[in-house]
Amino acid sequence: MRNYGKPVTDDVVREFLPLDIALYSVWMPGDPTTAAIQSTRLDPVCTYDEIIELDDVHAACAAWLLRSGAPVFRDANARRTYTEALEGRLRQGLAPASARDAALQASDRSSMVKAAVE
Amino acid sequence: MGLLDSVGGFVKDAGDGVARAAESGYEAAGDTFSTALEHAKAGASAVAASVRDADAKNEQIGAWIDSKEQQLEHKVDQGRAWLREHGGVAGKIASAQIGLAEGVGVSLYDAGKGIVKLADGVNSLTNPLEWAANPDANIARLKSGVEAAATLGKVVNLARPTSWIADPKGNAQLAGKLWDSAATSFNKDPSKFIGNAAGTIGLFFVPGGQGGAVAGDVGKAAAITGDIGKAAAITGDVGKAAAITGDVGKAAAVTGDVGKATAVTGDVGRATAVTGDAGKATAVTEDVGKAARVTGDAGKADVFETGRMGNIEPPRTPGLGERAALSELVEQGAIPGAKGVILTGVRDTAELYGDMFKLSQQNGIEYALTREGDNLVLRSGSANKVAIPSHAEPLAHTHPFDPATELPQALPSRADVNVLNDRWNRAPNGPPPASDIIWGSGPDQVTRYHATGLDPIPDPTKGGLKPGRTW
Repeated sequence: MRNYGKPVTDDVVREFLPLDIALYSVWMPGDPTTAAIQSTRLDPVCTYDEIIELDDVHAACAAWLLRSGAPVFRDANARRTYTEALEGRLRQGLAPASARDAALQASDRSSMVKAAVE
Repeated sequence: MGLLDSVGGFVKDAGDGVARAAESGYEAAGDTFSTALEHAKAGASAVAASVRDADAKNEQIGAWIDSKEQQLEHKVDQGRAWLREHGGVAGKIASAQIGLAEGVGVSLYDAGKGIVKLADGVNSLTNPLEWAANPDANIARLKSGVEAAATLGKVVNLARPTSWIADPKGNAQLAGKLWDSAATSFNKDPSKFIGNAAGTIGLFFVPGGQGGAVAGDVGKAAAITGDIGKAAAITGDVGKAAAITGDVGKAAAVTGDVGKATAVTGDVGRATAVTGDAGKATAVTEDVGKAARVTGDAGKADVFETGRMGNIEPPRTPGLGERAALSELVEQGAIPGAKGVILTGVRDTAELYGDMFKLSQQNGIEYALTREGDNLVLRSGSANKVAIPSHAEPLAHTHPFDPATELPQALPSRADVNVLNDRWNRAPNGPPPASDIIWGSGPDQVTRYHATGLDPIPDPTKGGLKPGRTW
């Protein structure tokens, strides 16, 4: 398993997660080491699985997203429903933050660890 | 003493020193050069105390040369000739004399334009204009000298004006890292460094050492038009470039730095006037197109909003089609980016994997293979990350490594496994998803791994996953 080799700061996290934070979501059944991070990219709108190969950076990224209020789901299907809604809003031309908020309203938030917007 | 006088005094002294060195020849140059360097150090101290901002220094020096001391150019031209011939040695002497280890990096450089100017080494490299003016030579030197410190795929970004628009922080950080690498290499073994990487340190000090003109600021960018071949390298589609240069405000919104955005856009704009190499122009055109899309739509600029040191995703190879044979991609060292390329003519999996690894190792970034309908799609990421569409079937991805410092990484990362777990949780009635890690070009250098569900990931140090085994 590879590691960053030194403390993973928020700046490092942002190097690995450079998009608008509103474009990220997380499936996290347990602690941050269990997280699967997704990004919904633009042009064209498509959701990607982000595979970060450095384990400590990966965990730090998940923790940062949780701390920063990104949508984090315990249930994988709830997260998929959310990202599909997010994609739809982005295709409609909404800005990332607005699209996220609208997608959350349309999602099952019962499994969310922490909602970005309540 | 006024500011300009301080700067000017230094430049004049340095110019005289170089000119004298040129007259004295190589053997005698050391003492003369040292004298010049002493002047340089004194001047540097004065300047450093007066002008902290590198851009300000450049601007002031350039203005001074233009307006007050044109006659110095003749002497400096002599110095340039000498530096061209002995650039590596000059770099060695300069760096040793002025304390490279301390990161002072004050040196004589930028001889290409016939301007001897004061520069901080890092700031020199973090000037997008210098990269734009001499990209081929810079990359070639870095490829041979600092390949271990940063892969070529990352370095290529430095030579792309639009990359500086898109990611000024990341590029600046990368340039800084290259500087640190050169400094470390030099201090570790100067003699070897001179032998192996004189061109690299020469680059830092004498960007125009191969005869290419290098302009130090936007106003002087026109000087590079004297070298059409190199100028063409920064030339893009006139219309698209105009789309950028015509709206500095939006470019600034992307870079977050009006000064840099203006510098780059101004440079691109001027460079378009000298387009003469369609091939090279194409190489930039696609980047310019991307930048134009960014600048034209702030909402789409998110991907460019921060620096990505250590995780720079090289942009898609310009001109890459929607479909291609992997052999062609390997031949051109292609980077498909997140958009990807549909592979054609795939017959043998082992050969496919081997070629994927070669390509990955060549560029120092991860490649991922997915199945999407009837298509096999190849995408690329960065050194430590790759992204695949959630709807695609993940067949394999590579783990490149630096042969000088790293061992092959045959095991999956937590994220590798978690992504499969995520997919399995979305479709729990199916078999656990599996995928391959390609960590070498040989047929046995592949590790297949599976989703684990919510079970703990096996610890490879305790008999969990081993290369070539599955679990």
